[in-house]
Amino acid sequence: MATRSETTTTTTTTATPTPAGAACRVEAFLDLADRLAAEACHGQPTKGRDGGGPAGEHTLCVAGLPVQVRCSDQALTATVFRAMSHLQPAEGPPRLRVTAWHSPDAGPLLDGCPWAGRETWRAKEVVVVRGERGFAAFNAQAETICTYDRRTQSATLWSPSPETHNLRVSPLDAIFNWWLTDHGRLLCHGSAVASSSGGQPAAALIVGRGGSGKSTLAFASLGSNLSLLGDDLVAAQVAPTPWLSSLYSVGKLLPGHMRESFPHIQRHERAIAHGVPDKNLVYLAESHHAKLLSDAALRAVIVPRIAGVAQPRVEPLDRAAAYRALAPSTLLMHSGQRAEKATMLADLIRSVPAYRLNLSPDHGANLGAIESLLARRAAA
Amino acid sequence: MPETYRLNEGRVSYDTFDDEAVVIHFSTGKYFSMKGAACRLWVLLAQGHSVEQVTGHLASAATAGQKVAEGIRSFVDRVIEQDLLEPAGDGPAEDTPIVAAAGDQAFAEPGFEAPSFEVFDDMHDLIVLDPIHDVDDTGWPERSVA
Repeated sequence: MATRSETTTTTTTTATPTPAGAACRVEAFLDLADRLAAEACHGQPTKGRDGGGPAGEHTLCVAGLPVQVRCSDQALTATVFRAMSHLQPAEGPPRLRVTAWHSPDAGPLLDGCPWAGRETWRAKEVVVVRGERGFAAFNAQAETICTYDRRTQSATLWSPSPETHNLRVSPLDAIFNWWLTDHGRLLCHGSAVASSSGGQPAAALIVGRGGSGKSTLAFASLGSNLSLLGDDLVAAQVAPTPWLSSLYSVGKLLPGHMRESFPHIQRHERAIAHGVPDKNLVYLAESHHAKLLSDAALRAVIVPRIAGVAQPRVEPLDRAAAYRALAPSTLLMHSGQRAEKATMLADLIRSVPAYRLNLSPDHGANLGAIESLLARRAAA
Repeated sequence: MPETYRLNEGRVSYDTFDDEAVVIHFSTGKYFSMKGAACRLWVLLAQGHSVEQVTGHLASAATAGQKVAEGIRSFVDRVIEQDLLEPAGDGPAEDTPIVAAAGDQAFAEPGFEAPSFEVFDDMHDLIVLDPIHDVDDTGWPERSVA
């Protein structure tokens, strides 16, 4: 989300005729990307999470499933896993294998490709191609080219450098979006917090427009009794029971907002990096590891509103309004399987009650209102 | 030939919650709230019932039949303008009878108001600035609507 919303390049071209023969089918492109990724990682020794070394291969638990991620060198490993360093190692055969590499030139992937060439790449176009066997995304804004092969449950990620904004904030998000949908899960645009006071953690998914208070609540949870599952992107599933899983442990805050509202976070200098365009990135696994939670039962959807009321007020919200707060941004930020995702999002909204949270200026009181709500829901 | 439409597949999705349909257009980034009579009308049209069949069903029992017919026409024009439905072409219309539903009541009331819908465009700028071009295996599709 960050990259798309934070770039300003405007390019809309007119329809381009299909290249003769459309020789580069999706299948062929998936094979090409696989080959290039394997070559980039070839001969690179792989190490475990703490193994160091020039390349990294880790198997992490992503939304309850083992995902193996192999990076071509140490720099890329460091970037990709920093944003997911809170996820637990996973055992068992991977359900998804991702190979990531970087090189200065996208040419080997772009040359001869009918959907996106050097021209569309330079023009910062975003092109998502779907075929029977999988997907490819040419995202010049995020500076990534990703593939996902449904047949082999494998994926590739290319980036021009090991430290792009996308890799630092939400690495593999396009791949996770496709793969999670295929596995009955959803990459959702929203923050999530959870209460563990009632035993099994109970979570609230916080959704709404930009500026509605999602991230503020997420950061405020770090100083409350609640735990944090994620800021901006989390994974959700409806069956067998409504559930939320953490994906990334990166938060984004404007420096002024951090100074004024969360000065205690500023103390963690080593966990803060400068983001794009002006937001600070906070690697929460390095600053607030004990406050992070990997997953929890979903008990409520909350749509906050900055109301300026003296005391926060929680009101029941009709499901259509909750769907309007969740679905458009979730569906529009990533492409592929949108119709399936729309249906799954509707099912998610129907699975738990929704509430409007009228926010007061007191962050602690707002989080207290969420904690009380989750306690009531857990007891229900 | 009956005037029949179908959902603009691939670019539009909708779901209903109680008496509200939420429609999302992936290319324009706009989304729409259709409540009450508009929800009922949208669902019938998206199911493939012809405008004539829908009008016959909803206007026949209405106190203000002409006003209902005009309201339906206006609604159809607006959803077409927003690219939410597209002509069904030469395919057969959905010819199964329309089953009466609670939503029909809004059309029968003397105080009938033409069905309308709310447009939300807070995501529109994002889509126009950074369009995602969805392509299938055969090459370029229609490009995003700016």
